[in-house]
Amino acid sequence: MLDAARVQKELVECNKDCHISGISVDLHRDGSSLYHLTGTISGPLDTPYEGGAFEIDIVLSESYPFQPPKMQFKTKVWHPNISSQNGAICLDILKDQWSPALTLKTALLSLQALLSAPAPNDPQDAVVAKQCLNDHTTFVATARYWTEAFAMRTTVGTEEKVKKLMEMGFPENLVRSALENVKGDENMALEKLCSG
Amino acid sequence: MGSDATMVHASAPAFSKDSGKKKKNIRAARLKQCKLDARREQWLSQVKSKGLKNFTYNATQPKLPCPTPPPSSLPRPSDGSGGEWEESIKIRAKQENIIKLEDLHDSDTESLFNSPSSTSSGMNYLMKNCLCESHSSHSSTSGSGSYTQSVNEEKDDDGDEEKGDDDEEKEDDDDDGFDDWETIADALSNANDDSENCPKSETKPIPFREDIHSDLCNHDVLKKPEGLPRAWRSDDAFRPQSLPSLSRSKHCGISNWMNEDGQASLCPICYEDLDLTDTSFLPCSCGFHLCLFCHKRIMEADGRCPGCRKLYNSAVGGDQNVAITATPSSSVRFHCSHSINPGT
Repeated sequence: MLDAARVQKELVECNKDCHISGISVDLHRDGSSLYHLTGTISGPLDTPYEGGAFEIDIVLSESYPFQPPKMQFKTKVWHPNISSQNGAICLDILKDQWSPALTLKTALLSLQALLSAPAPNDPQDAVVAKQCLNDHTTFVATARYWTEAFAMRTTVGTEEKVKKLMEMGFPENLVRSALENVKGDENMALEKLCSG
Repeated sequence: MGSDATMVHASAPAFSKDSGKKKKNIRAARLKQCKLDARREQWLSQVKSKGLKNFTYNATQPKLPCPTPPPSSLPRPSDGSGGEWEESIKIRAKQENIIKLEDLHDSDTESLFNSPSSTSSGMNYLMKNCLCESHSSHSSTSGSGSYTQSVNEEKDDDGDEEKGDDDEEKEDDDDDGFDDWETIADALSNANDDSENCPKSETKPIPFREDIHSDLCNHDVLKKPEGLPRAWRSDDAFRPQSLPSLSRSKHCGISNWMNEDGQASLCPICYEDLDLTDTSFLPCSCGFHLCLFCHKRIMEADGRCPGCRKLYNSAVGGDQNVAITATPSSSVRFHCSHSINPGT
């Protein structure tokens, strides 16, 4: 049985100072279950991830906090310890070094620290880790590009994109949900609309 | 002063209000008359021997701060001289007091005595007199009701100008009679319920410590404006001074002691409050506090301390730590109770 009281308190605690820490946790937009949450971290300053808002999918098990939460980047990130394919995270505190004394906020803070301190010697994504070790300039440029492409929230102009896609003949609700799912990327939304 | 009051209340209120129950009350009061007369004579002889002008002044002085004008039927004394004249003056002053007090009193203290107001008016006066005595003799609590405030003012006037050995002795006398007043009050209240039992209860002297009784009086009346029954706060203006001061418990309080540890007030795992057992429970040498439920849960799983990630079983002397930390907590508890006791 999930400790709902603790999770609720954690949500309140974490969102109390989200404007300072740049970390917030909310219920997943799909439903109102405490088991499925969405965390958001801001990219640390002086890194290629600066200015980005990275969403993390959080799934709590029944035995949380005695078992670690399952976390996965939903926003595409170019980082040696985060899969560029599916956003899987290689971080010890989310695996064997988890402690019940840790919280969602401390875990997200650890992810934020991971963004600013990549560990290419213990990689999750081998390609990114190789580039990080051999060609650091290219790695930084790619990471910056991915941040600007996927993590920058451009809420401005969403209505224009919606209008544009609706002119192509897609219903509004589908257009909005598609744009939402791809973080406002117009081309990916179109791709999604065409495919399904 | 008290015995004068009995004379007055036995006559004046009885004539002013006539009801069936009052007759029973009068009968009970008459049975008491002989005893009271003896005490009155004794008291008057003391008063006369100590100079009458003092007392005339004291008795008439309350009219000045009194908001209610004295009844026109009662002549104001022009000058005080002569034994009988003095006595009548004092009685009139008392009557004025009674009227004034009853005016202020009828509305707010009827519920204090579970008896009809017509029959309890005399007793009410007795209780008010008790209040008056307790206020003057202790000079402790601040008045809450309007009439207790006025009594205090009167007494202050007395004390500022004429306070002396005479006054103190007078109050001592009042205090002596005060025990009897309590007996009378009890007897009269019994008479309201069952007039036959009244003489028996009168003959039994009820030993009352004066300070306890004044506390009771103050408490009953002062509690009245509060409305809801609740505990006195230490900084409450109406709080009787004689209540034990527990403010020191704040300094050695358990809550404070727990807060000194900072994280010890909440279990960091389940965010529930830690009780004393939990706070003294220290299963790991790293000093990580957690509640027993969470500890049990962890022991059923991997058994590692959430604070340092070491296995609980490998922590050297874990049980020893529990024993060591349990001892200071018990000593703290003892210290608390010990330091509260002298205050009572």
